[in-house]
Amino acid sequence: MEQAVEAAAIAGSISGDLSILSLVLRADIIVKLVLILLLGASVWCWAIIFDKIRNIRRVSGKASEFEEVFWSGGSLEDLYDRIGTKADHPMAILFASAMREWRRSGAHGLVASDKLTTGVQERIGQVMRLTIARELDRLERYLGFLATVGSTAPFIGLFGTVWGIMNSFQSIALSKNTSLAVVAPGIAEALFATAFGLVAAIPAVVAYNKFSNDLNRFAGRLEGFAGEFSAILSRQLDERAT
Amino acid sequence: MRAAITISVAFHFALAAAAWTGVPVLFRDVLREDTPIIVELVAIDEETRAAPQVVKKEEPDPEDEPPKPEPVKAAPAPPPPPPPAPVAQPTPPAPPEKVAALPPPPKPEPKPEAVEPPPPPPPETRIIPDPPTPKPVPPRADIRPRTKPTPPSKAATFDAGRISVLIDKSRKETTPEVDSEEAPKKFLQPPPVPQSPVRQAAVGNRLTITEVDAIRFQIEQCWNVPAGARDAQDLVIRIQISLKPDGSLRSPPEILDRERMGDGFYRAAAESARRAIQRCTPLKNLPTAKYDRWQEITLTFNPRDMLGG
Repeated sequence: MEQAVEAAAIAGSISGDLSILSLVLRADIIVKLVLILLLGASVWCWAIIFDKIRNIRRVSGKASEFEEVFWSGGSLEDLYDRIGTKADHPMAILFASAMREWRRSGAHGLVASDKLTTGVQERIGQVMRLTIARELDRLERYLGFLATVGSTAPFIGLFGTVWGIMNSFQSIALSKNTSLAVVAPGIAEALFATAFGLVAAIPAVVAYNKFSNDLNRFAGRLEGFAGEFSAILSRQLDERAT
Repeated sequence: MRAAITISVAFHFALAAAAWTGVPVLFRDVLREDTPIIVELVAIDEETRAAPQVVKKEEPDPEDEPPKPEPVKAAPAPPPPPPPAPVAQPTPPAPPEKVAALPPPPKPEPKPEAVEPPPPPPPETRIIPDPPTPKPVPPRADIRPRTKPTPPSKAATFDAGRISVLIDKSRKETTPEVDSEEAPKKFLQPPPVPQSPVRQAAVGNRLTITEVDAIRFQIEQCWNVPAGARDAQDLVIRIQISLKPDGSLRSPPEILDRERMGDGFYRAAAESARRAIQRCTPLKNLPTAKYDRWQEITLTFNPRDMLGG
């Protein structure tokens, strides 16, 4: 009976020793730093992931709405007056910047000659390319961090593991005892560092791939829109010139 | 972005909470269940003590029959000898030495004798009990308890008072006198009487297999088998230890087979076994009455047992 109680007590202490929190608390200072670094990276990664998910969904939703309005056959001037300066998503900003350039060119009545017409077309194209680049750059912000974490977090975790195992071997040397009980805690905490690195890296890699895919597609959409819009504007220029 | 960060932090807290509550559960299954084996040892110890009493009760029966069925006794007698023979060989040294030290085993003998003289008349019906007596002997303590109930029913009629007398005698230590009395009577009924005391002595004084198992079990628990060794199943290590009465080591364990220590694997295994002994002593649950039996033990560590091969 007493033995049973003892066995239960021992079992309890063992399970307590191997819980994650006690492993972390017992770990070496370097391993702790590694773990903290990885934790911070993971938190920041997930913050980026949540932010990007929301942002990309919002942007592509608004782009769809805008395209619907744009192709509905209404006057582009009216649309620009309505959107004006309060464009809040890349496609509207693209449209607004192009229209602004169009109006400025038209305001001075510089559409008389062929030479000037091509000049206006080139300018509008230039403005649209720049706008697309700027907007995509804004959308892709922080994505580099995901890529960095995805590729380096396993190595950081591995560093923690190697350090922890070094400690384990040093404890073997100190205690002159090769039994698993001496080595096990150190190795467990060391492996925990690798596990943490992987936990931080895997979502980062997956999210990076997904987001860069999504943004590529959205960039294609923006460029398509820009091409169509510049085609419309050039037709208008030609009509005006004749 | 700030909202995303708060969401992320909350997410990590949730994850940590899940790990905190979930992971310990996974680790709890690692529990090793030692308790049933230890309980077994205690139970068998009791049985071995109980055994002598059983034998006492059985003896009266054969004694009752002497007048008529002498040939019949001769018949049942032969079967028992073979089973006791193995037991008896190791014992002969034991009983003489320990008669002085260990009062309990001899006591049973006087009781039967006291009973023998009075009930000669009883009829042949007790021939039946005789066969049971040889049977219980070979198997060991397990079967004896079953035989107990039957003799009491017959003996209760005339033995009840005597049994109590016998028990009283057993508490006093009057073994030598009893032996002198027994001697003449034994000539009349030689076969049954001598066998039973021998068996009792055997059970009581020798380390029973379960006690050896108890020692081995305690030490095996501490032994980490060098699993990676070449020909691990051949690394049979013999270590001699000498123990104090409290189960602790009297001197450092000594590895026999010194000549094999040149082999690195054997050396590592032997050292691990020695560490196991040092870690597991003092041994628990050893019968102090049999101290001289286990004060010097040669332990054989056979990795084959541990590796399950």
